[in-house]
Amino acid sequence: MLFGKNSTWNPDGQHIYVTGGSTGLGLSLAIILVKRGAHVSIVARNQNKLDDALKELEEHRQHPNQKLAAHSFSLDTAEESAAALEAVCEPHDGRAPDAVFACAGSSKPKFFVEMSAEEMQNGMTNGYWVQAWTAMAAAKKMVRDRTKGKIILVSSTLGYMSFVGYTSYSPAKHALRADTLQSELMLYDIDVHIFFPPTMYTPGYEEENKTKPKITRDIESTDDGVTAEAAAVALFEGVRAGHAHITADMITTLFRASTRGVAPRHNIFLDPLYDMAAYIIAPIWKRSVDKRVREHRAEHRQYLVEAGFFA
Amino acid sequence: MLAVFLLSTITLACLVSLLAMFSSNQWNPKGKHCYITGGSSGLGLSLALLLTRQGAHVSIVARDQQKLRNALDELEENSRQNPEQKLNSYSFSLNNEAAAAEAYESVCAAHGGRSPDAIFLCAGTATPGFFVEETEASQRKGMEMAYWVSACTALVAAKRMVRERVAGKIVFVSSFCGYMSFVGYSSYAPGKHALRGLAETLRSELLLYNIGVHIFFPGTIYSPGYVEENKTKPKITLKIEESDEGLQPDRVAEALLHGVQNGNFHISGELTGHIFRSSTRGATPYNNVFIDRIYSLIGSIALPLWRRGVDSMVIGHKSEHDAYLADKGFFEQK
Repeated sequence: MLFGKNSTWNPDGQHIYVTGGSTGLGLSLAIILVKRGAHVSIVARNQNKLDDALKELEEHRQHPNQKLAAHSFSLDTAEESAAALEAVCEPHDGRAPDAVFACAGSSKPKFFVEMSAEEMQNGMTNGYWVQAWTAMAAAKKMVRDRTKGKIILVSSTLGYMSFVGYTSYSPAKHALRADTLQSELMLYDIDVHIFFPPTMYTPGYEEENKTKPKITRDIESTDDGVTAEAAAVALFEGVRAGHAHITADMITTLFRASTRGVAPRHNIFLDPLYDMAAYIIAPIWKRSVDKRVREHRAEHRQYLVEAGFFA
Repeated sequence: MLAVFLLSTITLACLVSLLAMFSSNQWNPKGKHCYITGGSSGLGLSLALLLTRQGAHVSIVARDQQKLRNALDELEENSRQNPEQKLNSYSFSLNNEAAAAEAYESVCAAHGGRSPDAIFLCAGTATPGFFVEETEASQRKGMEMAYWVSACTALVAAKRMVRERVAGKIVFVSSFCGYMSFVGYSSYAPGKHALRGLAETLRSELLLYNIGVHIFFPGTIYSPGYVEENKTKPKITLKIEESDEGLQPDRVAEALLHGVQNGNFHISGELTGHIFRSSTRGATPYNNVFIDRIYSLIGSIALPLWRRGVDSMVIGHKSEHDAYLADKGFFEQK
């Protein structure tokens, strides 16, 4: 149980399922778990990337009876996500995993007025559904097996706030933040955690930058991102410490503390201090972002004209 | 260090507060074309009546023809102020971009093809239930009725307003379930949170075009939608909500309009709403730098206590829920 408990979670000997486990955050996390003696199953789409990832996991194997497996599945629908979970559980007598880390996801920033409805839908699929379906399949299985497991979702700093360029991504990351599951799965002693990483320097990030509007990049230029390894460490430590909301950098921590609402606190003394700091800093940051957007108007108008938007 | 922090905070808060009191650029609906989705009942209808009484041209869109006819009759009989006001109703679904675009086209047609000055996205429903009993269909439906029904119209409207250079307003309607959630709302709260993400992004992005964005977070509204919602609501959810005082749609509509007129980005209607808003504000602009801080302080005590209470109720419900699932054959299925 999360709230008020000081237990540290130990993955040794547990079966952990990591989606998006072939690259970036998912892979780094899988490596940490393997080093700690867990049985680890990773799921992603690309078979080649999965093969490479499995080789890397093998290098960190601690003892011969650790089960390390990789399966290729799409996770875009409930059916596919349930099938992935079945395949993952099969080598474990069909039993539910002890923990599920839903690291799968991607982002494609773009101007709203240039977005098609399909792109908005894809944003929700790749930012929310790809994790929600896994959570739903895992919850049902854990309840049926009476496994007191953990479900970990991966949101983003953009689940706490947003700015120009992220209309297809931020809604999905906010959707993950709804603490329905954290409350409801107490009915079954299943813990729910959610991670809010900042920019992570991963293959996914490089992909995202291909379509990112310049104004979005400018606003982000002052942010310090983190490596996938550093993010994975923060995520792991946060789960161990029993934190409901987990962050990996100070800026997101300030957001967490000042946008906490009813999400459980980490620390009754530190959180209010963060909140006070955010009280001053957040509006100043917001004002500076707004200013940059306003100053970008003329350039943006020109951009739209050239793209034939007004034709 | 803390003392300096506090002192500078309070000073800053007072100054900004004073400044805020002197700026009044209240948005006036008179003579403006307001498009209200979900405008045939509940909050949408109350808002339509209110805006009509203030002299606006009002277009309402919903699905049911009969409800729309009744609504339009009410607008005509109880609210029309002068003969120039254009009051119209149209029957459309709004669940995808094509439908939303069709509806928008019809709404603009009566105004020379020009975009409305303000769009109030009141359409939406909730169908609470237990997560482990959800299906792909019910989850997608939940997202459709809480999020897409608004996002699609927002997408259509933004593109049109930008092309026509209309410096309009887009007003989203979220819910307390967009600020927090608990057992029973796994198909609804994500959509209401998603609206918040969309509104936050659009508030920033639409500065590029002078289009204003607002988002409203009402609590329980005693509307036909609420009656419908309670039909499937789990007992434990009803129990948690027992102590909530809901509001009549007219009161809620007033709070929404008031917030838009004051230029508030996040709009809350009563004390509980203010407390949630202020304690989950993050980088969202203040409505009032000084008072918001007080709400936030109250929230920092009250909300964890409330949360503890809710958690206790859920934990206390475990065995009853286990029996409920067993009765339904849940544990026999694969």
